[in-house]
Amino acid sequence: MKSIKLVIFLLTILWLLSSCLVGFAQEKVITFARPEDIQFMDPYDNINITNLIIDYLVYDRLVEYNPETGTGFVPALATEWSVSPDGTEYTFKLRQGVKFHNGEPFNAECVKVSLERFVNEKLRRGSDWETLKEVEIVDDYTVIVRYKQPSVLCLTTSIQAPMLPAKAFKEKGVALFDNPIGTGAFTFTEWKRGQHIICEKNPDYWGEPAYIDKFIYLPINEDSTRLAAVLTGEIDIADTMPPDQVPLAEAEPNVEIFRMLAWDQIYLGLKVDTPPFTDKKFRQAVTLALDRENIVKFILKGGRPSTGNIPQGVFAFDDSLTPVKRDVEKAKQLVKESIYDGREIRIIVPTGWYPKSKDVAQAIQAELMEVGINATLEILDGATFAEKRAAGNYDIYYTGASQPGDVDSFIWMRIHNDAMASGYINEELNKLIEDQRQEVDSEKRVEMLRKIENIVNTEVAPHAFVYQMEHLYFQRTGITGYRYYGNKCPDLRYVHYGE
Amino acid sequence: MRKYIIKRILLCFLVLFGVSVISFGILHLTPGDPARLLLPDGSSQQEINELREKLGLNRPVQVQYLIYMRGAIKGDLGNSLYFKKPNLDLIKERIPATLILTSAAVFGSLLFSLPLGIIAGVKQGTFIDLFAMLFALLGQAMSPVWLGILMIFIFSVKLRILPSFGYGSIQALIMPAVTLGLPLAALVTRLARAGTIDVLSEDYILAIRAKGIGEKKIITRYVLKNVLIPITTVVGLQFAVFMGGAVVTENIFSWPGIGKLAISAIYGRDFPLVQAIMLVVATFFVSINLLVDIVYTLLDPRLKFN
Repeated sequence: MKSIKLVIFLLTILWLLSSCLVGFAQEKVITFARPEDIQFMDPYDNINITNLIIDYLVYDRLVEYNPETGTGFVPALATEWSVSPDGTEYTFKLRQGVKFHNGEPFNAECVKVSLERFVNEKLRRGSDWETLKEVEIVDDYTVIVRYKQPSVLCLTTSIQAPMLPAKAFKEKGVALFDNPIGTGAFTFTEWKRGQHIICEKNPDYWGEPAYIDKFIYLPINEDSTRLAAVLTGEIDIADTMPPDQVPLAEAEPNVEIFRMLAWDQIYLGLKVDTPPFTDKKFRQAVTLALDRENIVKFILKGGRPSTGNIPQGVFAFDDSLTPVKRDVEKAKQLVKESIYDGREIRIIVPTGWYPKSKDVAQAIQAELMEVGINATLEILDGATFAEKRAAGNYDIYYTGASQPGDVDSFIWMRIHNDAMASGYINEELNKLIEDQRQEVDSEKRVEMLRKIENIVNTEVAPHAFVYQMEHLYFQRTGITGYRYYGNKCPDLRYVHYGE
Repeated sequence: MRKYIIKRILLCFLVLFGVSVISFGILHLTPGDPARLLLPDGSSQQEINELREKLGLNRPVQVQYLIYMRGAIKGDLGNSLYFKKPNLDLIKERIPATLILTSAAVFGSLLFSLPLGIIAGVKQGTFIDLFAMLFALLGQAMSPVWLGILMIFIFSVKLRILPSFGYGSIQALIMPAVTLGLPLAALVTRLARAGTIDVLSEDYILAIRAKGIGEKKIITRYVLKNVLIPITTVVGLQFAVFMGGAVVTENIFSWPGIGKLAISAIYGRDFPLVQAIMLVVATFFVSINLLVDIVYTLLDPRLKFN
């Protein structure tokens, strides 16, 4: 018996010691957790936007978002830039004296090798750079990015096209991304899939050095676990937290909540070419029936009702617009006057893509039924939903759209190209969408984008926008230096515990 | 005996073949196009078709299956569409974690529930018996999701004695292993108790007692061996099931095992990866079953002579 007691005693001491030793680390570490894991580290071939978080640390890009305002651009690896009057040529002057993590120098060759990947390879981010023709090297520190047609999106799309080391990429190709090499404030040190990614401070960074020594990214899928981890202090920042858990976080004095209006909006896509959606009155009834205020206030407890397809914070946003106000009586009347015959109206909804999608969809269904529309819900898994939506197998689909700071790709793919088979063909609208892509004059382009938004709002086709999402971060008090953008991928290079 | 083993091994291959066909079939019959999911939302049908072509998804299903299996037999389980890495590597990364969790859960629950059940059976009607029955009931009734999250809140957040997530330390293993192993422990307790009661009521036990053999020896020699027969089957099956991915537990505790990988592969319609996981898991399953059957024959002399 005595020996067993001794063993238990020793084991307990060992256990306590092992958990104590962790606390003795001298280096400054920030741990960040988010539900998704990193897919792979090739930013050019990745549609999973979570990567941006690590990309910001390890890579640099030609320009960056203005950290004060969140939109607009400031120099990064490019010190100045200019656009030709016809919008087909962007000339960049490059920063000198920058080295990659493997010692290779950054120069015009790197820009060429990086961006011309879109010309030479078939990449998943390729649609951003469809019209790219070539990158011309003028000298070691000057390049011209040349497009086949006028482009207004060079700077926006370059955010997700960081600079790669030319020599290393030519040698290794995509195998380079198993151990990414960039010019960033951190080096990519360790990656255990499903467990963590560790990045360490780059002491030779060309820009302002980071405050911390180590950054650890953790994929923690379960919301409650992420919450628990930030409450105990095991992690410093918990990303993508659901609004339901706000009270628990508020109760803990060492945790604070950071709210960010994301550039994501939820909208309803209408099958415009099928009755009763062919009748504008019916479509108007649908948008008038929605109680956007209610959804934002009670179900989501955050966010804002949408005013159109341009979200707040994105280029061309019109803050003079107001959301459609719910009008049950008018909606009922419009339904009666329309060609609607009372048939079942199917709303398809994806699970797992957006927070509280089921709850919001159910609220919408109830609101539609109140005005006399026989609405039913089909809750589907993401893949099945995507199939049905692409095939046009729906009356209404519920989905979201995230913008990379500019609505162009949204309106191009989902209205002009009708990627979701709504059957809506509006020549005037499509022409406007084509024109705005090439309009170099900023003010004229804003006018065009707002006109497009207006047409979609008045015609209620092919989309009826519901709300713009809020994104919640729970973090330990005292954390500062981060930059959060509406694309929900924070720039954490300068995060640290402030004094 | 040898003939039996050879026959069983051949049967294993048949089962693996069946699993591969069925999983391939179901996956391809389910709506959902991996190419569509791999491209940005709203991509054109043309871009999707090009990707489908590139990934070989436009070939007839039977051809895709044969191509896959031809590689699989040689040990090449294909590449994940989503991760663009060899599936075998992805699975190998995750197997140790699942193995550790599964072993801890199974052996932990056995260590606890086997003695508990036997003692409860021996000391029927006492407090221990009541405790064992209550444990068995609660263990099978409690939802692992609820239990897991509750434990995190009590032991991590409130008491701060265990980590809320992670992999690599013994502390981090405790809660996931308990969450996973509890239903099994409950079941084993019941089986052990029932088996003990059955054995002790047999006539030959009376005879052994008359011979003068002590209680302790009766329990460890006769009761234990007999009780282990049904328990081995159950434990073996459960071990194999857990190896298939204790998805819920892995998700709650962020345990980097195969379960999470499988679920996200299915959601993403990552055909090669799902197929690879199915094959690996099925192989584990049939191997463990085979092992169990062999152990079975060692435990039960009646089977030796079949």
